[in-house]
Amino acid sequence: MKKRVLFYVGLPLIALFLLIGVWYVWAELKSRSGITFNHAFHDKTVGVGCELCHQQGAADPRFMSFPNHETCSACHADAIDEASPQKNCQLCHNLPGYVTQVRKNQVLSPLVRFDHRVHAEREVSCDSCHAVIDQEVLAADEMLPKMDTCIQCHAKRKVSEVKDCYTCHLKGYEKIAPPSHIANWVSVHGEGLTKEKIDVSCLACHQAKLAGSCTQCHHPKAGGAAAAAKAPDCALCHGKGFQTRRPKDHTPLWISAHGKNLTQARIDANCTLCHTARNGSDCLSCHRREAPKNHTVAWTVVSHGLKARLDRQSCSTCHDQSECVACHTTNPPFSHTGLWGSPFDRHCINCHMEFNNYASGPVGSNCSFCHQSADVYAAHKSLQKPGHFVGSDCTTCHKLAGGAGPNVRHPYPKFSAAAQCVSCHQ
Amino acid sequence: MESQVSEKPLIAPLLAFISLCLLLTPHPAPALDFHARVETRYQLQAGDNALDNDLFQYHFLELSFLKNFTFSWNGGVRKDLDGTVNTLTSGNVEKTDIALRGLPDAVNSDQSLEYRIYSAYLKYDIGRFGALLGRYCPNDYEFSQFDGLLLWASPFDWLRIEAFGGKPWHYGYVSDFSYYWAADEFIVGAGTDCLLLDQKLLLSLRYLFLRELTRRDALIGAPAETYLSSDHLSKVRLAWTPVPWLNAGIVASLLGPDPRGLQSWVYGSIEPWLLSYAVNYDMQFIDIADISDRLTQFSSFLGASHPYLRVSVDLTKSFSSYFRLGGFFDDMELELSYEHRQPLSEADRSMFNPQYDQFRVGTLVSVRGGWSMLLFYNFILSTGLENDLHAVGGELCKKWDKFEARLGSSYQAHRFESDYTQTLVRDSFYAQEYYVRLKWIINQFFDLSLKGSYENVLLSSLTGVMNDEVVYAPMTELFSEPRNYFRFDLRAGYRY
Repeated sequence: MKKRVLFYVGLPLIALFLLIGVWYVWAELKSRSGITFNHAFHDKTVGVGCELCHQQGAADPRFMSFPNHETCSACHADAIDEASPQKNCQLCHNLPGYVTQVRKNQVLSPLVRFDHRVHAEREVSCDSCHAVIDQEVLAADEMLPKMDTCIQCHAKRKVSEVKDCYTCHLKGYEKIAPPSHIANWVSVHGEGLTKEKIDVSCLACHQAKLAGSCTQCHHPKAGGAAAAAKAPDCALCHGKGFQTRRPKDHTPLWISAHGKNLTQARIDANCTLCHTARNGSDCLSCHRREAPKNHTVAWTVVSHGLKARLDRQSCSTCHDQSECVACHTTNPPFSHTGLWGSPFDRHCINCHMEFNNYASGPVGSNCSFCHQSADVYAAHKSLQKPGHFVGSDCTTCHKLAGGAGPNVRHPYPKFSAAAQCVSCHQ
Repeated sequence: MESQVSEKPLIAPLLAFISLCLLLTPHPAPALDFHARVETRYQLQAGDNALDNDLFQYHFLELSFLKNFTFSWNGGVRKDLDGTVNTLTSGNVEKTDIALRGLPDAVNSDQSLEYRIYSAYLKYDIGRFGALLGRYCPNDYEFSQFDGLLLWASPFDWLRIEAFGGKPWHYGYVSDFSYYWAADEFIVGAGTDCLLLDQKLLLSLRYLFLRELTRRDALIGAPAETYLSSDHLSKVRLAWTPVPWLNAGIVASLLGPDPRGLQSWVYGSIEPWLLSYAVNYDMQFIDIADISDRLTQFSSFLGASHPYLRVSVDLTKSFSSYFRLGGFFDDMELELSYEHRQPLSEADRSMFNPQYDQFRVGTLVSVRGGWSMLLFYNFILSTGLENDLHAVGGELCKKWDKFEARLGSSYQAHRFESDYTQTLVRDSFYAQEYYVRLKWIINQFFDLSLKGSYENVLLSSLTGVMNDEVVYAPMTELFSEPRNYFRFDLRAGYRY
């Protein structure tokens, strides 16, 4: 039994180790250029300049050429000449079959824009980019500059032509993941992540516009509170103590001004990134427990009406009409003295109708704002029927100023003369 | 329709919430992604002709489970402690609490205790597709709040399509449950958002059909009557952000087949200068009186009833480097703001379409040790019908690591005219406020805050007589003496 266990467990393990070993050797060989070349020796000791071996490419002048047998034979004729007894292929070639993979490994990605001519014209020395030449003995990948090298140099030289990623990269570059982004990268990328690492490494590519940036998963705009909840630790991106720092536009008067020009789209795109119900700072959480700063007791009593006259659109950011109606059905505005409540009922023409139209238009043209019943409208229309002619004494039928009369009451309580009736009821 | 109060057991939603809290206790099930916040607030408003003594508790709960499901609950309970409701306003007492907003789902007979659910839903979201069942408020649809189902799909990154339907909630119902359940009301909506031009252009289409029970006044003095009214609302919105400092857009809407309104805007913020600007143009084509026989919430009179143009510019500048502030001073910022509102029709400067200029200046000085001082002055100068306002205020603030204290005051003076058909009535309003605010973040779970304020208010009429013969009841009858108000607000929050 034991043997069977050992067989069934051990054999796959051995096979697995063998497979890993083969894969490792194969990967190592594939990564090697196949050429042994001591750049440092040629540069420092022999004093051979780069241009002796690398010339501007004939086919594509943006690239430098790689040396071939003919180039090297200028100095190493005996080692290369097949007829020579000094011939020694292993002096330069280190892969089985003397395979060379220089071009395959070291040619620029097709999605990178780079022109050696431009840099040569601006007298950028070779070792500015290929800085490890004087240290390495192998012609290897390490000699190629990393993107950081470009960024740092451009920043140092204040290269103004670099505007965005597309200055150096062709369209589609964002689909090429760097070597670190292995298959399970999504699930492991958070391990050991620090703000410094994000700033230095991640943000070089993961700008807001790039697919896969932090905010698209952890903090998607328009995702609301639920999306913001995916952020494991805000301080990871924002740094410790970020909660007490204000965004740039949260200026001294921000609290009183943030409602200006506010739309739902702006709330979704900006506010909900930080202000969520989860942390008790979304619109509802804040304004429910604490109204805007100017919503004092005096605001409830008088001020809101005055402000509503100036800019009702601001009110509509939080309130809709039904809230006004719900309250003012039973609570008259202070200015509505004598016009509100039983027996006079509310009369809204002064605020909610077009005064100019009312004064100049036909009687009752806007009465239907409040008096939506056809009966009411018809009743007022009858003012123009025969019997209601100019010069009539209205008070004959319609007693005013508290006087007893027929069922028609007037909303203005203190009209005392018929002359006042015709000012409206023409 | 007389306002009716339906007695619905308050205990049911409370028990439901407590049960949920117990069921979803995070400790035995640490794998659950559970977030909650419970906030309890005591508010006292007292003063001349005013007394209100209330206790509130707000509940927020969010639970993610089975990878793609989320349950969310947002509600609040209000208990009237003094047996009266808000008597701040004149006339009848307030029967509903605007501060709590939302809808009373359960009230007791004297309305001293009520529970409201702002939203409560179960959401299934797999990125490209999602569904939501429960109470929800898609704000892009004219604040429509409904109990029903919302579905959305996003087949491409640049496209989102959504549709919903259900029973509409609106504030006007107050506590009238019988109408809510009995009335043949429903709401359906659909919309799409397309991101074009490398996400720089957003095209949104919205359609909404609402059939709701509404109320209208009949003959003067007669009881109001109810009727079913319906509206179709369609909106198209185009927003363009070519560069970070420019956002421009236009919204056009139809009410049924008729044009309803047009809004357009340009705004932006130039960060290096800390300069922001905004130009808005709004107009409404439809006259509220023309549609008074089918008023729904879409026919809201909020918003411009006439075309107007509004331009504003804000400038904020930090002078810390300019003055080489150091040592004692941390920073000094100055903010300037100007806004102009212009009705586009010369003959149309009615009370609700005013022309005014608004100026605002503010400064914030912060010094070492967490002290800061804010000062501001706000001035509105209206043209035509007078509605001028002066407001000045300041606040002194001290911040510690977990504690924050603010002491502030503001003064405002307002002179305004009301257009009473035949006569202009001129009034003045004056208010001063002093307040203290304290906030203590005890630990990552608990926080406590307090606000106490005192206000002194005077409203006086400058016009005692209307015309020659009509004597209008002067407002001095109401505010012949300055009034004093106190407000005390104590709040404790627990967050998990």
